[in-house]
Formats: sequence, structure tokens, C-alpha cells
Amino acid sequence: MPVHTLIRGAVILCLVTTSACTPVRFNERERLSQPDMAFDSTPLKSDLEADVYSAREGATGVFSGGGGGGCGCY
Amino acid sequence: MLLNSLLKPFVKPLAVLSAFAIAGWSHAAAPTADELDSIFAARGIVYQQDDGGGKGGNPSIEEHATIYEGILLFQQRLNDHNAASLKAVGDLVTAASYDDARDKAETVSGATGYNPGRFNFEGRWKHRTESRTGFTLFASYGQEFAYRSTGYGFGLSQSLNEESTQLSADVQFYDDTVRMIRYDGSKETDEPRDTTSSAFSVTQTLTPVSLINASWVYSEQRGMLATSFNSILLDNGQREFEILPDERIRNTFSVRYKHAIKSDSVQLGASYYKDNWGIIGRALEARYFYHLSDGKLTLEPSYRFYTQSASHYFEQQFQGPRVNPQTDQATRLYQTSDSDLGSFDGHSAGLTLSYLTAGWLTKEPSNYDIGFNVYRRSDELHFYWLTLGWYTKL
Repeated sequence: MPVHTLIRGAVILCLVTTSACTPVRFNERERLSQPDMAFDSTPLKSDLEADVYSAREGATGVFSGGGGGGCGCY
Repeated sequence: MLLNSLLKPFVKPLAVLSAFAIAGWSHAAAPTADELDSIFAARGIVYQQDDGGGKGGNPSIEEHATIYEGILLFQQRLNDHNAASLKAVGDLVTAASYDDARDKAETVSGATGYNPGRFNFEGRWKHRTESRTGFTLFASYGQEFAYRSTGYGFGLSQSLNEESTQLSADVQFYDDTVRMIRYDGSKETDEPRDTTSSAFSVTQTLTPVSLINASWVYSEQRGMLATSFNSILLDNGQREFEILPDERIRNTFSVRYKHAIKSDSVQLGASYYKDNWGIIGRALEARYFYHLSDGKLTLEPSYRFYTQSASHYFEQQFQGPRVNPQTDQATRLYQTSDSDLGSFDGHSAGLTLSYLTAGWLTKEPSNYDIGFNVYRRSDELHFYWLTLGWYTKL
């Protein structure tokens, strides 16, 4: 993997992090603590969806972690 | 020399991971305090793949399939800082492509597959420190008809800014074996396929009702990357094996945004994918979480659009044999007619109904859900899947 690709990715993530807004205090997090505010709140649901999509699309890792180790060839 | 080749796949991901750790902003699928809780989850799926009577996908290949999959997850909190989990997956598969290869293999070469369906086991350990740093280790083993996979990996995570910022990095390694059963039933020596996958993610709370997540997944695959029993069609009606490069480098960038609208919430996502086989994929996604009955009942409609360009090596039909019989020279290096590597658009729509209640199967609150998804591809290969899920805290 070219070094510049690594650097570009790291810079993007740094920018996202360092440009973060003022921290939201604990006492302001009531709505954020609700299960529907988690990106993957239901165990296994997003894993299973990612498996279906990555088996039938050329892309992988879309909205989910890396993964691998499966063929999905059928 | 040997040590060098053994360590080579680890160097880049470890360097990146170290950079994250040194910079003090590492996180993984970060085990928050809640994520260490004891839970039991079960999920089932019925998946149907419809090729329109042979017209969809690649018209020269039958691609219809039916899959029943069950997943069980058990996680036990060990103490304030540790949890261990075990996940088991089992599939029953009926697929035109490999049923045909299996039947021919039994008569032509007597070869049998690893497993008539598929199974996979995964063990995971999560640790979270007082300083909100998380560590994860996992190992997995699985088998499919012509595929065997051993995986392991680790992750780091860190919460910052009063948990407003979650950072994660994890690396996964898969040491897989492809059983070389060909479409004509012949059998060759098993081949390796190695995958190293690194994922980096940051989740940032923006306001008391909104947050954003950005992730980058980098994956390197080496070895036998073609599907052993796939074939391509020549213009003279003959078939040849699918042949693909023995290296694939894949990058995926995704951004997701979540916003609460009173008691409901909306989630939007966009993703960009590129690999060195020439595929560029883009995805857009929208989900709405509509709460009824004091939040006990949730309706989740979703829509996803996906589009990809074809791989450099894809053709529906090839002109002449790959190796010219007169000159013994290769006319092309690689060839595939796998429709998943072709160009297509895909529209996916789904609806999930979830109900949170206590007292049905356990005293603890449990979440039950049922969902249905339709995925329609522009190449007329369509998919439908029904899911049933249940999880409870123990």
C-alpha cells in the first residue's frame, strides 16, 4: 500500500477528530444514550447485513469493519 | 528470509496501529461499559437469490440459491473490566453453482467438499480499563463447501472528551484454504488465500442529538482469489476456468450520521470503495427509526443504493481461448464472468419491526425483531431475505 494513501487516511481521521465540536457533557447525553442512537445497536444485525452485501457486491467493508475469512461463493 | 516473509503481512498494519496508539487516539469496536454486559442473542435468516430463470447476473451461468442461516451469540461479563463471548454460525445452502460442481466432482474425481453447508465459530475477549481504553482479541474457524478459514485479530479503542469521541483501530488476519474443485468436477491441490484487514474508525458526538462516524477499511488479499468452481464462456461455446490476479488491495471509506428527531432518529450513510482490480463502488444509505408505544415498538424502514464499475478482468463472454493453441501464447492474463465483479446498480429496501418487552422468554427485557429486505440489481439478479432476531441481557 502506498505510504501517501496511509498518510491521507490518517490526515482525514485527524481532521475529523481535531475539528470536533465542544464535548457534549454527561448531563446532555440522555437522548444519545438511547439504543437507537448507536450505529450498530442490535447484536448480529449489522454483521449479517454486511455478510449479505459483501457476498454479492464487489466492495467490502461498506459501513462495517474489515472482515474476510469467508468465501460467499454461491 | 523465512522470518521476513512470515512477518511481512503484519508489518504495515502493525505500523499503522502503532501510529494510532502512540498518537493516543486508538479505539476498536470499543468495549464500552455496556458492551461488556452479559447477553444472549439469536438470529436467523432465510435468503433467496433469484436469477430470473437463468437470465439474471451472468446469463450463461445459473445463479439461483437458497440459504438458511442461524447465528447464536453468548457473551459473559467476567468482571468490571472483562467479557468473553462465543459466536456460532451454521448455514444450509442450496446453490446452483456449487451444487453442480459438487455433483460433478463426486463422479469425475471423487472429490468431496469440506462441508455441505457452512459453519463458523468465533471466540472473543474484551477488556476495558479505568482510563476508557479497550482491547479486543478474537479467533475464528469456519468451513464452507470448498473453503476453510482460520482467523484471528485484535483491536484497540479509546474514549476521549467525556466519551464524546470514540476512536478505534483493529486488525484481522485470515489464513484460508481453497479446495480446488473445478466446475467440470476435476480436483487440483488446495491453494492458500491470505487476508489482512485493518479498520480505523472515529465516532464523534456533535450535539446532544447528533453524532457522526467515519471509517476506513484497508484490506490486502493474496493467494488463490478466484472461485475455484467458477467458469467463463468462450464464443465457441466452450468453457475455461476463472483466472484472477493473486493480489487484491481494497480501500473503503464510509461516513455515517445519526440525528435524533424527538423520540425518533434518522441515520444517513455514504461510502466509497476502490480496489486494484478496477472496481469502484459507491453506496448511499438511509434508515429511519420510528418509535411507537413509548419506545417499545420500533419500525425501521431502510433504503440503500449501491453502484459499481466492472473489474478490468470481467466479460460476460470471451473471444477465443486464453492460450492460443497454435502459438502457445496467452492472449489475456485474467478472465472472469462472475457477475459480482461486473458493472451494476443495486437498490435495496427493507423494513424491520422490533419489540422490546420482558416476560416472554426471560425476566430481563428482551428485544424481538422481524425484518424483510429486497435487493434488486440492474443485471436482473435479485435477492430477498427474511430475518428473525432475539437478544436479551442476562
